[in-house]
Amino acid sequence: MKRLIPAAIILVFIVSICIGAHICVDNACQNTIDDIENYYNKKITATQLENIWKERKEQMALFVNHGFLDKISVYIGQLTIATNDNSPEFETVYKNIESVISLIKAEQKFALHSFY
Amino acid sequence: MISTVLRTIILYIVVTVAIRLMGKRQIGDMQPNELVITLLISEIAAIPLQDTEQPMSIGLAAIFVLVFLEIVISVLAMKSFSVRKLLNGKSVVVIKNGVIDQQAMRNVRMTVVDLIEQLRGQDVFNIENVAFAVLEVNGNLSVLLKKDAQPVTASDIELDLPDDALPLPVISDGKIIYESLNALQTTPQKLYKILKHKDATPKQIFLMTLDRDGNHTIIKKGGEQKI
Repeated sequence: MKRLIPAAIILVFIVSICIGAHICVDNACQNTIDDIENYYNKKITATQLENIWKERKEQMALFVNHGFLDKISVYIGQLTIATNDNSPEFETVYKNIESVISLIKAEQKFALHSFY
Repeated sequence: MISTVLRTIILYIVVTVAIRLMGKRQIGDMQPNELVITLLISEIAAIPLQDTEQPMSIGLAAIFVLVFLEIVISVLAMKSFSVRKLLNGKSVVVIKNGVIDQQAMRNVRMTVVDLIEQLRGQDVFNIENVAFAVLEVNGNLSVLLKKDAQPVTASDIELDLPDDALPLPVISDGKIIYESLNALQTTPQKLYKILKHKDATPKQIFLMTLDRDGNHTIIKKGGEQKI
């Protein structure tokens, strides 16, 4: 039974990673959406939005595909330009961010399509 | 570039620890499930190295799941004969009293050429000399020769030989290995006495082995051989 001790430690480690990743990514995704809405409502500035995203990206990079995060960085850059110019493109860019975030969330959850 | 180097170092450490946790078997001695897990671990470890867009935690989690499964399955296999049989199969007798069991050979999909090759590898050139040949689950062939084909042993001719004393390395590359001295129940003073007799110091020695009976082999550094 001594040999099962490392197995138990590994199991705890795996479960912690899974739960930690789920909570971290879920919170980060929701906070990103909230921050964009705050930016739209002029509660935070473009620079603040970009700085917040940079910090959040570092945290999310531990569990999320870096390609997705880079895409969101590009979209956030486009978003700030779009609003500064009062461009109607804001909605399009916002939808793009939402779709990438939904992909990130879907990766964390168990779904039959990802299982197959 | 730096992140790739760091990832490689971390994954190297993790894979080494993972293989260490799985046990000490060599690749040739692995059971089928161990071989599968080892191959999978090496494949999974390569993914975060090749694709830096993948977070390392995904690769690490997958490696740890495999190690967890391997440990649990090996403990189950140790406890239960049926689990062991299910995972690893069972040994098959392919030669009995010098006669090849053709049905057993077909069952394990082994050709006569393979069988003869493995027999030759064990210095057996005549199938008729074989009492039993067993194909083990790891693919090795164990051979028991008939009594009249077995080499003569000391007990056959009632020869009384002294017990073998295991020689241990007591100096390696100029450094005294105190663990070996303890295992041999001897002291550094006795070691120095032998060296003094040979007119050498520990620093001059590349390798020195010693057994409980005091028999020793000394190889000096710098190309000089046994003294």
